[in-house]
Amino acid sequence: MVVMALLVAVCVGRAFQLQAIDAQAFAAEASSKMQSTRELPATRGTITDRNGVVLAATEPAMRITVDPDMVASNGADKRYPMNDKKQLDAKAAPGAVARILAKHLGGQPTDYLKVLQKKKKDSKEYSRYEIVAKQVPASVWSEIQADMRKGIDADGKRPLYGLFAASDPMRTYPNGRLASNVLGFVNAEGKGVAGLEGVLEDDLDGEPGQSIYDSSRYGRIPLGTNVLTPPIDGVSYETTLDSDLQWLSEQALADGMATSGAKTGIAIVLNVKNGQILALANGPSFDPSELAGVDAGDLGNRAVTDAYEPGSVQKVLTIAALADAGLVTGDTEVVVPPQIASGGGFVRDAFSHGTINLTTRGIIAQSSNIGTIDLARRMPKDKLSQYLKDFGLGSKPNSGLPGETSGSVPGGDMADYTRDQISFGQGLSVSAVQMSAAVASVVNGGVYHQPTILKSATRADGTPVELPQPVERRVVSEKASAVTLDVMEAVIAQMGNGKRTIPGYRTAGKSGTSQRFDPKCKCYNGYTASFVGVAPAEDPQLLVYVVLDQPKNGNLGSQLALPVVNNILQAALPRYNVLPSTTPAPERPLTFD
Amino acid sequence: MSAQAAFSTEERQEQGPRLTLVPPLRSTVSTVGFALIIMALVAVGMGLVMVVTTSVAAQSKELSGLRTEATLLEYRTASLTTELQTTSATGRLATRAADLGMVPNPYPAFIRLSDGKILGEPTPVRGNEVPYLRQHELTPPTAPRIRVLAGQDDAAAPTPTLPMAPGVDQ
Repeated sequence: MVVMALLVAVCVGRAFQLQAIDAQAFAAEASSKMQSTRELPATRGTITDRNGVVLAATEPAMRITVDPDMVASNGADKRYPMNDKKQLDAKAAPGAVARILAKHLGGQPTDYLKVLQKKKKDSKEYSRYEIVAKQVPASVWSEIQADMRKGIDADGKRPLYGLFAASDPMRTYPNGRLASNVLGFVNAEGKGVAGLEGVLEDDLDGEPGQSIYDSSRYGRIPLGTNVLTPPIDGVSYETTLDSDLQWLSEQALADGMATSGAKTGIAIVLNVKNGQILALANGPSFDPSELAGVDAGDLGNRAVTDAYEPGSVQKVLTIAALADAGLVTGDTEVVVPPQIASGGGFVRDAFSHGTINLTTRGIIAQSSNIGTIDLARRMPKDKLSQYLKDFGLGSKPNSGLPGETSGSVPGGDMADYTRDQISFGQGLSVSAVQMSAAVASVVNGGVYHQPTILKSATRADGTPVELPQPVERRVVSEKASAVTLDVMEAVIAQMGNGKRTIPGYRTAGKSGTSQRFDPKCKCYNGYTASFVGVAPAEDPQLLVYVVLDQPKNGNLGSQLALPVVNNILQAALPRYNVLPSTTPAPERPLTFD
Repeated sequence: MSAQAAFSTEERQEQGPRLTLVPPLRSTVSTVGFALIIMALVAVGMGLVMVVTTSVAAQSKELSGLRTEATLLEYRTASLTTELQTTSATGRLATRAADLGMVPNPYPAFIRLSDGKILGEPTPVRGNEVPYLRQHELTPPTAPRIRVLAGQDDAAAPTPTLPMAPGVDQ
């Protein structure tokens, strides 16, 4: 009787403790055991071209893992002895699973048997976790699951067990290597590490959500806790690129590089009227989905990261500055000697000549360094330096692309010989994007537009994201712009025996052939050939700038880079509905008596 | 006491009817019957709860099935979208167009709709006017690649690091 009383007292005491004293703690513990939390990954934003063509997107994918121990027993509870039927299933399971994997992932079943039968290190026990494949499209995983359910005889009577999957989204680049140097790539964790993928990482990535729910061994409890915090998908970006024109430019650049034997190359197509980059090709390029074996130097975007001496293309800016200051016109006459003293030495032209009489137009058409120096000396050095800075040289263009170089422009206190040098493109450095924007401002009536690569951005809910407004400023007058365009047209129309023109359009341009500064030896080593072309010359709409670095078959921009520029212009002008020119290019004096 | 005695019979009648004891009510349902009714109500209630619970469970299962189906369809849509994007990539279209015998025409010509005037000079082409488009191997767009690690070490391929341009602060 006493024992019974004690037992009852203990039970009552325990019940009181559970129900009254520790009730909340126990309830919380029970609840936490029932509650599951699952992270809901956000979908990374897409990157498209200006026409909505997808350049980078994310497809749901899975990381497939295997529990070799489970495969070995085909899911049988190992606490109990397996009957004959289960033993037969277990024996057949690894081979059957391997065949399913080979069917959907490629390869041979034997490739998968190794991992399906992998054992723990230094042990005879099977491993409990191995990775089979990463970034398997989710639709493929669904098919694998379906086949696993169908089982050994594909009739659903003997299902297979042991494969698992976790979300492992896959970044796709449907256009392959197109614009890859602009787009960049993501690392194995799906984080952007280069190009636009890298610089826009925080916005593209989005914010993951969360699902909290009560569950039992039979799945979710219908009326239990169910809290869903939806993920916020990443911002999608529309670039200014035109994927068709980008492809054409890459083809033309590849052709130019093959012809010239250049080590690297850049081609840029710019909308002169607003500074939007329509195409930006780099060579060599890479496939963002397959980075193995790619030279690290080819993974960046040389058009913004590399600074080089622009050579004679710089003369366009020199003439524009001089024209704006009222110091030259296209017909300004200059007596050009065979050489000109500068900094204790002499500067000569690329072509041998005696004393010749050239107009400004002739100086640019024949790319005379001596004539350009003569003209540049008419402007105070600080003023010339300021003009170049106003053209955007010496500072990052802030185009939206990562890794931009500022280049360098000597200040107003530069030495006289430095002024002479920079007038024809030595002694200063630029990036290809900087130079494109600067020349575009010259031919755009003198108005500079900051080069841009991003056109718009949209959040996952459809609301627009405000992008920084591109800078716009007048650098030179319309008159100075017209003077410079006039002398640039002479380069095409009055030189080269008609071989520099393209059918249907008047074009203007300027070649550049510069010695390449090698930072390793701190000396000039090799050449950089370039050409900038604009069209139509009557009212320039598009600018194409091509830079070929370290060519082997010649070094002249007019011979190596001009054909590439013309190929691109020929394709780009009709594409942008630019009507053919209706008037012939004017013939104006290059020399005087 | 004397005042009470002073009430007459007439007065008593004016005050109302004479009070009498209410006879005990006869219960219409026996105790057993009442218990049976309660039990029936409980049974009906429990039955209803069971029906509702079963219905909720069935609907939950159906919802779960539909969710799974929606997810599978989403996966299928995503896969087909990627396939479509890859197939319609510029390089592939150009290759297909060339295979069909289409050639680019570098000579521009426009018809001005307002007056029907032809701008430019329409020129037939032979197909060799733009050799650079077919001169180089057209890089086929990359199909999404599955990274099969079976039988390999799980070390991810190292991501190449970008070189720093001279004098550039990245």
